[in-house]
Amino acid sequence: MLSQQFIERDDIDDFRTSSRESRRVAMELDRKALEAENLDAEELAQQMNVRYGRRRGHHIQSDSSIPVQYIPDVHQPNMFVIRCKPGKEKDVVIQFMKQFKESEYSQHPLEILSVTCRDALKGYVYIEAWKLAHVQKAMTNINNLFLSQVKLVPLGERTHVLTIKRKDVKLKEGSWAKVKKGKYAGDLVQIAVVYEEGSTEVRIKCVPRIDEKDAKSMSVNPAKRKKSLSTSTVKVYDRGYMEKDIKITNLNIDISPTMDEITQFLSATDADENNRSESSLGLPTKVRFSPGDEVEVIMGTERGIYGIVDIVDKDRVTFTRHKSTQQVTFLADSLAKRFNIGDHVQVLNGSHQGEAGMVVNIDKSKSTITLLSDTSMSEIKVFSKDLKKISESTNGRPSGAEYELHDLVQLISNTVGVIVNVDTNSYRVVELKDGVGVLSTYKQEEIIGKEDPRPSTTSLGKNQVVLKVGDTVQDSRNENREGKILYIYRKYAFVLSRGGFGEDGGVFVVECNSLTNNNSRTAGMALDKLNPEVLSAVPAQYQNPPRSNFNYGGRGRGGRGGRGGGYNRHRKPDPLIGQTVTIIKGPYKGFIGIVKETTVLMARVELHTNCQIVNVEKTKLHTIDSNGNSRPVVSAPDVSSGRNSREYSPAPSNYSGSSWQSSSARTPSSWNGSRTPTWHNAMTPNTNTTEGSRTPSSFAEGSRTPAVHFSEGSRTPAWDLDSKTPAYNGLDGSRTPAWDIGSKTPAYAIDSGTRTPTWDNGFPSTPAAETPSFTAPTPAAETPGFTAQTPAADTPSFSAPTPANTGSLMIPSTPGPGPTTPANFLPQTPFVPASTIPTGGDFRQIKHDAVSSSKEWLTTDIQVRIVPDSRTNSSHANGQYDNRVGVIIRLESPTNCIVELDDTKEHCFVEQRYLKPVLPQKKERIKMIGGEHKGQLGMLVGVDGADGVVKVKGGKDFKIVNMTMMAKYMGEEVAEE
Amino acid sequence: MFFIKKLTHTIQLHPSYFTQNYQTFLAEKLYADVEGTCTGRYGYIIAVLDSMESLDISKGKVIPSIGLAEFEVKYRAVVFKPFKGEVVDGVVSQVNKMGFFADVGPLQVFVSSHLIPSDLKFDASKNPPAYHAEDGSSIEKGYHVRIKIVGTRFDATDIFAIGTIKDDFCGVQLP
Repeated sequence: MLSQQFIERDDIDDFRTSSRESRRVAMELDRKALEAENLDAEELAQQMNVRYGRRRGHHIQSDSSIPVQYIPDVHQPNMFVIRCKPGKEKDVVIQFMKQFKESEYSQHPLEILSVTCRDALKGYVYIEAWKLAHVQKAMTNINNLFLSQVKLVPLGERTHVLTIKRKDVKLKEGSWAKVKKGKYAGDLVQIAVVYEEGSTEVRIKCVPRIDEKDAKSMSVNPAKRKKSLSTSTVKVYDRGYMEKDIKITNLNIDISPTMDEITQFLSATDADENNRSESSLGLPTKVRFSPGDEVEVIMGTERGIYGIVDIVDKDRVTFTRHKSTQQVTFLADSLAKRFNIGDHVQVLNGSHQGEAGMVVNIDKSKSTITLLSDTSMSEIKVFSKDLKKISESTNGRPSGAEYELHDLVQLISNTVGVIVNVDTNSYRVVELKDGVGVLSTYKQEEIIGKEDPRPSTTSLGKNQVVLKVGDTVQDSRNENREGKILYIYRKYAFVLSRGGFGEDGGVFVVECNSLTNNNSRTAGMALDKLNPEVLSAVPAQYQNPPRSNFNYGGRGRGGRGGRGGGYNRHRKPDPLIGQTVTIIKGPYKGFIGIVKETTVLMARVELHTNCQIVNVEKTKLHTIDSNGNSRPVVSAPDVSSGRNSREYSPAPSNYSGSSWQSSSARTPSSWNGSRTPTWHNAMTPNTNTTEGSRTPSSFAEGSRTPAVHFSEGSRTPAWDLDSKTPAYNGLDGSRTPAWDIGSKTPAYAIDSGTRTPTWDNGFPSTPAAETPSFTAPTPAAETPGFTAQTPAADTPSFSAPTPANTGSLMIPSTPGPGPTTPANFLPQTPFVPASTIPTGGDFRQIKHDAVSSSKEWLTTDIQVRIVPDSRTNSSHANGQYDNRVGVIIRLESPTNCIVELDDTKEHCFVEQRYLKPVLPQKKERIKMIGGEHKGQLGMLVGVDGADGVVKVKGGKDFKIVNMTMMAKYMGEEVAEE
Repeated sequence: MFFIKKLTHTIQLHPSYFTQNYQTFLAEKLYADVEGTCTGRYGYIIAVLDSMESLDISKGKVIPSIGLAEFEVKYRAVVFKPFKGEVVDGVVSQVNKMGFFADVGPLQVFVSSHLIPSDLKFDASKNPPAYHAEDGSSIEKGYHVRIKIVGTRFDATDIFAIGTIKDDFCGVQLP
């Protein structure tokens, strides 16, 4: 009793004291917390170390985590291991349990203490008991056990039996895994939540799959739907992803998802863009490092240090720190490959495998890198683990596929296209469809083959500029589109925009005629080819010997003669200018003058006698040196004849050949002319005799005389494109030029084959038929040695001349045979100075027709244009009338006149030098302002180059008159009948 | 960076050029061949410094069986080669949403949108397209920019570089 009271009192006291005590403890705690707060981190760390440091060390040393009190010893029951049928372990254990329960309160209870089995250990069951006899007794009624195989587990091994070596699966939230079993087998999932340690489950995030069964039942039977909802496990959805718990054992964690899989995972739901930040890409998966990689620590306190990998040992990576020799070792998980912006890298895995590019961006977690692909100039996002640094210099693009980037390919749809992107086994192609570039994807087998690129293809762009492959061009319809021509296909060009940038891989298709050429760079001379100047100096015949000799005869010669044509661009000032010369041929024969100006063929000579300036061919000029010796101004005859007959001609000359002929170049000999190939029969001499081929060529000019052939109409010299004197270089000076200097139509191929380069222009408009007939006479008028050519032009019989030549060989004075019927032979061969021809030698009768600027040509009733005088750089009335057109109504003096302007009917007094006759058009009435027909009226029937075909009033004939010789007639008189 | 570099060029000459002034041919050919070209190794050859007289032209060697003569011409040239970290001035030539291109003489530099300060935003609706910032500054075609080269790539016949304008003093320069 008393004691009871005591206790009670104690209790009360206890209670009192305890409440007081607790208050004190609480205050103490507060104080400690305050103190702890005041401690700085270092002290705290030290304290912790003191408090726990040793113990931790002890633990590590003991290498076992089992507390001492649980370690079995001899005073505890024994453990036996028994074999059983594999797979039946759990059955066995349950049978034991049943038996135990059944017999628990019976007379003979089972004397075993426990039964257990392990999943990992198939075919064994462990029984805990004091004695082996107890075990054997318990086993009697149990199936699937092998009685004979009972063994005592040794004491030392007993702990191992039930120690579960947990696999150290470190799951991190945000890492990736693949589901092994079930509906989602094979799906990529992301670890959403990792529960506390030891949990066998994790929460994963996955892309939900539509269950067809569920969906059907839902739609068909709403009543059932409720049920199904209530019975099925509750699923949680987060922004379109399904979250559910799953056993870790059901996950395959050791995977390395590609960027594509992850982006697919991320894009599978309609999570809005903003939430899909860089970090949601999750943690990088396993990275395989190799020695030499540059790595950086991305986690933990050492974050940021980097260096070059030395050793890789499974998960441990040892690397040497940057700028030191210190070697450090880290777990591979905490490392990432290190790249810098601007590094040139190559993709190792994934769909972009093999592509190279430059790093333009590195995200904060250092796991993903954006690079600008070298080939497609587009940005690619990849994991840094999939990248490798490569050298800055590239040698071509990664190949492997059959077709490469920017190949021109023939497609199965019978179109062509340019490859702009190469994927594995498929190609993105900019295809030419109806004149437009269309981007489409083709499989390898849908591409028929590579189209032959033909780099030499050219096309005409806007304003007729020539476009070549490789030229930089601009689309005139779209200012922003410019680039380099990759291919020209028919009239379309595939253009790669600058830097390969823009849509469709930077390739676009555009019609050539809207492109302008931006190329400023010109290719240098091809010095490893034959010098074109030399080429043009070589007589035509030898430039292409087989053809001209065997097949084409004179034609080949004529046609090829001027091949060198356009080359002679750099013309040097002619040394001839200022020299005193004599004119040795032509209407001014014997005159002496000073050369004022020259062109390749012509010289303007100021005559001593009457201060007149006349145009004379250089071949007709001789310079006079101090000794009074004269020599030809141009050495062409020597060159050509020398080369032709002496050097090149293999056949012996049977008519006394070259020396004679070259000298005769100066002596007009009429027979020569007859031999000269003419407009029609140039081939005759060539084909008939071995000499023949040489004959004409011995006179460079002569041979080329037949610049016109009916059969070769298309080759007929025509108006040159760019130069009035196309073919000529200095050596060819001997060739008789025409008076076409002033005109732009060197159609005159008078007697010089070299002119013929223009043939190659292939001007289809050349009136082939007319040309020969009209030009033929010209040489006669002009060519010194070949006056008699003229008759040749009219020679009716083509073969006749040849024998005639040989016959008259020794009689140079003999005029051309037979050409006594000159003008009437053909209507088209109206030879102007017809009357003079038969005489053969009297050149002075042939007037030099050219309108000399000093001559007065003014006459009434012609249309004139007021122009500035180029020689004095002045213009009429300060240019206020320039370019106006009027009609001369009255002559005040031979060089002054009154012009009535067409538009204002104003009457002006104009000097001749400010006037230019208006050239008449075809079928217009004309008035001759020069030449022997001066003053006559007529009608312009046709125009051939610088010549006009004129029907003179009152005459039946057609006359060939230089166009400068006529003006448009505006008077009342009827010019034609 | 610009350098003066001694370089060698080999020219083959056709016999038809074996004249007194073959050196003129060689010099002209040299200028036409090398000026304005680019090699990954030396960069862009901007100009040949030597005149025809000061060129070091070797004796010609006739190549057997062809007849062409081979000359080695040694010349000094101004070359331009970009380097990582180099700061260059350029003119914007093309703007799109991925960034912009700038011409630095013959060199083309790409500045990715990642390497453009984030306050400059691409405005596709503008014509021409441009990068605009709220404070009114912008980058569009024809603007002068100062760029720091962060990466280069050398092909056999071309050089390509990417640059950044995120660095100090980089970006649009007032002309």
